[in-house]
Amino acid sequence: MDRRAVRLLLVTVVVVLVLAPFASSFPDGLERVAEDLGFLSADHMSEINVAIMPDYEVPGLGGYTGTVLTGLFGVAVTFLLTVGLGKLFIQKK
Amino acid sequence: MHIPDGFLNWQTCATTAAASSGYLMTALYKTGARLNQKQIPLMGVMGAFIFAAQMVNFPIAGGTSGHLAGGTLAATVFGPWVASIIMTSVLVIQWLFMNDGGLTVLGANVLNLAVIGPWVGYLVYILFTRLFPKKGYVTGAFLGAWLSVLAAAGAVGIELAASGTIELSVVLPVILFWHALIGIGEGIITSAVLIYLEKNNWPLVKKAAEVHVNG
Repeated sequence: MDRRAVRLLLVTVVVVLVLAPFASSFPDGLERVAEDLGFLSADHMSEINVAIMPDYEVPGLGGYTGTVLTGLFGVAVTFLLTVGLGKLFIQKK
Repeated sequence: MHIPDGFLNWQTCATTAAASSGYLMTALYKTGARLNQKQIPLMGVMGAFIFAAQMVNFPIAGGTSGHLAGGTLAATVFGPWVASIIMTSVLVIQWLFMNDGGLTVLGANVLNLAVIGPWVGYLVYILFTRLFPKKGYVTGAFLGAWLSVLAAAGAVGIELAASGTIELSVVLPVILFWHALIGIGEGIITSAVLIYLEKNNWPLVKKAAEVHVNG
């Protein structure tokens, strides 16, 4: 694989191992707005939740391990899906 | 700013889903037309990086956090059409496996983060690289990223109001306030990563409508 891609992939793995587990747990902007303005519990439509790693945690696994596993899994499947879409639509020239 | 299920009514969900689907069909076609096979791994790794970077919430003032969206970053390398595909991949994975962002609102999240975000960021970026060809790309990326976050946040506000969840005059100033702060983080991270990518010979889009990503 292209060396530039490999290097960014290494950076990505470092981000998962070193940065993601120490991410802030404060609510993000939208959540904060929803809390303050009182629409956090809005339920116009039902939730459709099939997540195996809800909220970036692995049920039953501790903080660091769960976060890192989720991160590495997400990185891998995002790579595969993006590459898959590329292969589907980009012709061999 | 991933919207969870429940915040938007079915009409807003359906409208944004229809708009996003139509757009994505064009984006897939454009991706096929513009990239070659050698660029596929680069595209894949950009998606992977953005997924990881979105996990890194950073605190901003007042007990709130933000995280990189990444649309402008992707657009400065691949152009906005391909950026939309990359961002949509990230959003789909995030809903499917982590329940980050809902399914009924996926169309809205795609519209905000994969369409509006990259396009606003890209257009501002291109403007700067045209006005200041030598070093304009860093400032352009910073400003583009900042404005892209504001634009996406504004769209969220409009969608919430259209759904009857909260009045526009109430939600818009508040959501724009928080995302003006979060956008600074987006700007810093986007321009920093861009400098890194340029040093690593990732060609960046410096002229409008020309993607110089070589194999």
